[in-house]
Amino acid sequence: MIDPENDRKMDEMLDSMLANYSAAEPRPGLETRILANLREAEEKKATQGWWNFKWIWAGAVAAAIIVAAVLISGGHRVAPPTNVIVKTRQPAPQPEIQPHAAIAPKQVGKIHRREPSAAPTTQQNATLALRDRPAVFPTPTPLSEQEKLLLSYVASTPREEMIAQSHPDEPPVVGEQDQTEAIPDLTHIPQKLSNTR
Amino acid sequence: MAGKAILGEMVLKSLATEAAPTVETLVADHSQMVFRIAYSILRNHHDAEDAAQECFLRVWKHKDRLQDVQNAKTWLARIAWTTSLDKRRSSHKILSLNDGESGTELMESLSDARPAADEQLAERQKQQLLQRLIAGLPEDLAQTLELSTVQELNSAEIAEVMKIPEGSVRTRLFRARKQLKEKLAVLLEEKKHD
Repeated sequence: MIDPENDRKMDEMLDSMLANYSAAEPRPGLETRILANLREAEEKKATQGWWNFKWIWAGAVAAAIIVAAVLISGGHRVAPPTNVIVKTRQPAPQPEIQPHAAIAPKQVGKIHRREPSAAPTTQQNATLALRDRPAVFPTPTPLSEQEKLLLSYVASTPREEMIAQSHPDEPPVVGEQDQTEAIPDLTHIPQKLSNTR
Repeated sequence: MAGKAILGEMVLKSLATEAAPTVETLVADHSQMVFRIAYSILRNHHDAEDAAQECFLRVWKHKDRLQDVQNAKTWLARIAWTTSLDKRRSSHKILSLNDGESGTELMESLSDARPAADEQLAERQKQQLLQRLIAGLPEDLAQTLELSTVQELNSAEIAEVMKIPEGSVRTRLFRARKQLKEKLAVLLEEKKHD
């Protein structure tokens, strides 16, 4: 059986104890400290945000530089060789036929001579070959001195005379002994190279 | 002084610009309540202030949603309550009746204390005794009782903070008081026998 008087006393005691249980006062300036802490947090966040923003931009710039470098270097490497040939190929000027005979052999030699190189690649050879190749085939070359003389002779000489001169002279009739002496040994005669074609 | 001037300036500025509560107005209006809620759970001035700081930091992180808050007081009280409970769990500073002085010793010192000279000491010992008795209660009863000791909160607000019906708050408070009285009666009986 609970004594009502005792229960009332216990209630009063408990109420008095609970009344001051959370009646604590903070140290002066709690609001200021809280606001200062919030400002600090805000500044910290703003600084962090700026740094994050900066790093994003730096990363973007670095990525752009890398992409540009890759594109530039890749463009040099990947360029097809046909493009180079097309670029270097120009309408070849018609070689002029110069009257001076001394220049002609030089030009012919230059045209047909293959230029030596240390380690020519296939692409370089193709480019050079295209560059040196004349536009007209067979290659026109200037006439030599003898050819010019022959042409002037043919032009000025009558046709009958030309036909008459084309027949060889009949050999003179001699004895058998003299015949062997008269005919020289052709094998020892040095033959000259003809300049004519 | 300078802090109060800054605070007043910020409050006026916020009142002029917005009708919705700002973090600054919440600090100005409810920092005492937040501190008391924290103190009722942590029983330490330093820890309570740390919890109050952390509570307002949490509010500041969600300041964009302040306009959606219907009852700023109970919303803030709930944040303070959960923050303090988290802090108490992490610090493992839960006191028990076996720590330090026993309940009987506290009861003796409480009755022997002279009101004039040792009033402050007696009050402190009384609070220590009550703190230990509350710590011996089931967790749901202890938490409800702790929140009820905060003057700024009524039973309806406690119910909203704890997300339970108001009737449950009253029931828990009744059971908590009953158990505390039984424990106090036991302590008084032990003292009589000694």
